[in-house]
Amino acid sequence: MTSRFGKAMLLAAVVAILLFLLAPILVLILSAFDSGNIFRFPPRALSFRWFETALNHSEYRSSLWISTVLGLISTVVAVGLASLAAFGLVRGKPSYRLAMEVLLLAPLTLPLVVWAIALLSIYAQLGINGTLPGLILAHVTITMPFAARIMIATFDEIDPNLEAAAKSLGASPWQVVRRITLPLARPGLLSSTAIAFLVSFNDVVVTTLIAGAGWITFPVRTFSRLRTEGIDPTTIAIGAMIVAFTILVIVLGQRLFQLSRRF
Amino acid sequence: MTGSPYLRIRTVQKSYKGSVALHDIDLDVEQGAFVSLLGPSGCGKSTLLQILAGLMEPDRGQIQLDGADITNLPPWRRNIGLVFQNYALFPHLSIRQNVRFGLDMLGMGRVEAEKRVDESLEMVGLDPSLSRRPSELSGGQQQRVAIARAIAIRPGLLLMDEPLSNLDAVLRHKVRLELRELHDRTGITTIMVTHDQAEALATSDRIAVMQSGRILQYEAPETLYSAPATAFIAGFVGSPPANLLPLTASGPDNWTLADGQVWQPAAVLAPKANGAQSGRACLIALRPENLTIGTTGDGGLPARVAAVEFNGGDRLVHAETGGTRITVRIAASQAITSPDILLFPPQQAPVLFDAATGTRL
Repeated sequence: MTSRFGKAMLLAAVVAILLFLLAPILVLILSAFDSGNIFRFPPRALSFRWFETALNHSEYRSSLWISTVLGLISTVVAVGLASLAAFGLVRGKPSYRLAMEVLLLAPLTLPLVVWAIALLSIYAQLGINGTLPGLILAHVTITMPFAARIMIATFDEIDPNLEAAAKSLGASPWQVVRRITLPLARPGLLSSTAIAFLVSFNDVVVTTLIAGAGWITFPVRTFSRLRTEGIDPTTIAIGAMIVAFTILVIVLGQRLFQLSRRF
Repeated sequence: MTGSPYLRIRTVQKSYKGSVALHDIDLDVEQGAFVSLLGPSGCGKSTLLQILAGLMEPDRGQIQLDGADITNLPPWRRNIGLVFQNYALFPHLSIRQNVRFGLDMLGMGRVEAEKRVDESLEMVGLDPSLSRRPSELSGGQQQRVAIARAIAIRPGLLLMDEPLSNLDAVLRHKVRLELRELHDRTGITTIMVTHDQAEALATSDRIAVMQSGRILQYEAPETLYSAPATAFIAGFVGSPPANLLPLTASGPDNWTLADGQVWQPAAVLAPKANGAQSGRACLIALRPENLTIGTTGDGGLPARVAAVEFNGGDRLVHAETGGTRITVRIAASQAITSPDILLFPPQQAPVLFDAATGTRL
């Protein structure tokens, strides 16, 4: 059945799907170099003016800064908590493991906006609406399910005999974690960190409701300007820079990871 | 060797989730011995090993190693080497780093540790210059690395959990011999868990046969083979194992087989000589190599040949008698000419068990 025609069809399907997936990025990057005053595609003349505007735009700069700090802090907290929970569930094998896994994933089952309204009323009671700690807490809540899911799968993959062998060779529980468990969990830790950061960085719904006017993140600012002023080419330029940064991180990460594997 | 044994296990008990995994286990192991814990899966042998390694706590009981009570010692303070069925090599470390792991934990200096790694790898027959990852090795080589890693720390006790089960049949034979040779060279007191009786017979000084959380018999392989304590052991140990023929005493001189056939054996095999009252249901253990086949004579059991297997050095004759399949090992040179034969047990005190309890008469 693997005729030449079949192979050609498969290749065409793959190319079509990839194009479909990646087209927005292409549009984004090409338009960012356009010289027009408004967003348009395809671009007509090459220019760096929107990058210049973006870098000099203080509101966007502060929003990007807020998004980054918020993303980093909530990612560290969420991945840390999720790893501890996952390790306990996988290694401790409590009878309520399945129930706890479902509870950890529960935030994903409701529409985010419903979740955000509930958080808003709780945070109002606690008096932490519009504060950075409140915002961090909200972001930990929405990112932890992803991190927990990945970390449970990661620890499930690590043979408990490896930890038992290390113990028999004289390693204390802390040494086992440091020399065996953590190095083996690294791929899972890296991917849960990346996903948690992206979920936090991309969130509009929860942040809009919880943050108030004090902490406007990049996607919230972009979204609000979109509604008042239409598409701002500055955001397109910032988007292109984020894509470039992400690609850089992936390439560097790959290099470093390969290097450390070879060592 | 007077006084207390090197390893002393007393009344160790363990239950999980309401069912008893180990009932009051007592076991003594002499220094330098190679002991097997033999039994089917779920008999408690792996649980006992985990408790010895300190990976599981007994509900009660005591374990002494070299005079010290280690019952409540965590695994990292026991100095007990562990070898797993799946080898459990650290995949992120090289082979040398795997072997060095325990030495680093001891805080041994670099030069000394590297020397010890060389020695340990050489001892298991591996090239010490191997700089590869465990995943690049064959199963047999991974097993050697696992053993080298465990003996590098010069453990007071070496525990092996089904160390040969993941190897193919040919390699399994070779490696079990190597395990015994390694043991003789290092003198490390070794306990191996296995479900394979041939493996246990071939390697061990003593074998503890376990069933349902109890040790049924703890003896040298030869004793286990010739004088099994229960019908279960007789029917489990040996390749092929002993035939267990059900029979009921029907008088001082006669047995009745399951199909109603009456058998009048030689005097030493008769119920009278073995204290079996009339009406008592028994099992007689008949080793395949101890039975002889004839066509005439007194005291023979009439049987009908169902199949003959030629194995090169010998033949296995499978025959039916009294509704039971009996296996007999005969010389390859002996031919079976007629399907109707007589089976002659050896003229010596037989191994008889109570049919209901399986205990030795």
